[in-house]
Amino acid sequence: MNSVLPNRAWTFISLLIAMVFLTLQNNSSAAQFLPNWPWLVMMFWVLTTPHKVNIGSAFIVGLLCDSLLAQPIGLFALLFSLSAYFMTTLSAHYKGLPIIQQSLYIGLFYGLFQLCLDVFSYASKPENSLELNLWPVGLVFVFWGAVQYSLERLSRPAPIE
Amino acid sequence: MFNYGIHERIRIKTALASVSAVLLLILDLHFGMMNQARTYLYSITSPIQMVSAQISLQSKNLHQWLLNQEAQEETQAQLESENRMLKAQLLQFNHLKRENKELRALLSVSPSQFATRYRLAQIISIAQGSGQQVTQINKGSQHSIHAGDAVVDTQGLIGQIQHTSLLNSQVILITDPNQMIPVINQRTGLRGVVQGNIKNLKLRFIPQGSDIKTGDVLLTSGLGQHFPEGYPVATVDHITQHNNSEFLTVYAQPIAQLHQSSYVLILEQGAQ
Repeated sequence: MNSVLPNRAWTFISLLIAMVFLTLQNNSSAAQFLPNWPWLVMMFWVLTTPHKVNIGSAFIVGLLCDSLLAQPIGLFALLFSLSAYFMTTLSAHYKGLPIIQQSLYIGLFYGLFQLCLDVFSYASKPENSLELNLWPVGLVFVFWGAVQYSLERLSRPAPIE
Repeated sequence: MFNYGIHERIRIKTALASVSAVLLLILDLHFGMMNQARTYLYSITSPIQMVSAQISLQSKNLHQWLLNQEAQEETQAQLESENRMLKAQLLQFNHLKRENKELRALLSVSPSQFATRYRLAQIISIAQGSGQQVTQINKGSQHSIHAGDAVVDTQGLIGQIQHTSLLNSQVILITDPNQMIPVINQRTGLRGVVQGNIKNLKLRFIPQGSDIKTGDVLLTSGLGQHFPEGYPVATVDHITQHNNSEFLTVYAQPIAQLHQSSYVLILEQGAQ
């Protein structure tokens, strides 16, 4: 499928869909197993179009996630911005890697993102024990290839006739 | 004026974004100054919540439609029977309410607060995690919902409206640590304040030697005018005495089904 919409429109639409998914999964018992979809989609766009989607966009999407998940304002904004920075610096190197290594990279970064969230959760409520949630990290590693493939297909420009 | 390379620009942007985010976090967590900003953000994200709520509702409807007809008929019959019983009880309630008003007038006591304007709303999402204990409902300022309105289910108090957008609202649950509810012990009349404790509630300012025991029901006392009086809040779960403190440590379990209810009632503030 080749896209008739400009890349920027697909960025916006895919992020909106990811946020709907995030809200949907947050209401279900599967929430702890599933990854943060806006983070995944954001990182895809940062990696593929770092000159268009970067720290500023990540900061705004992070703020929206703070609101959607009722987290302290600034938490996701900070983590999204830092993730976007590391992805931007890696983007040139990343593109030449085989898919399995790309998935490993993303899985590793998602692990750090999840670790920061779990540590923050523990620090803000010390009466709870520190529980590291590794399920979403594994799923990110397994499904990153599919996420990347779907978003690439969507955003591919229409052929010139 | 400044001629930065692409890498420097990215670093500056990251530093700016990080400093802004940390500032926002400090303002929110330590000074509680982000309530207005949260309301604006909530207005922006409420369409996303609504789309997600619609998807969730349609899938639930589909699931119910797929259930066999017999089970639905049985549920309907049960609901009709419950409805008849409640209507009969309501007749008695109206009589008691009138009698109570007359007795209070005779005793020259100010009338008790009975909220009679209720609005039914559906819970559309629940936010979990380390943040606030909140839930979203499908009624907003367009339906005359205001920040501060109390929210109950069929069992007891659920929370209070925190933010409203045009079509939906955010409810802060009674288990949120920022929630303080003035309560009264139904059995003894002992007053106290219940504070959210994530998984349960903590009853504060109960002096050592007070008459309180496990199983006591705590009702809203109406003090502070934030919650109408007489709504069940929690049942006392366990009590601990400390030698070095003049107060008891009392934990209670919420009576309302905070995470199971699908529908809630909003009590309009000041409704008599």
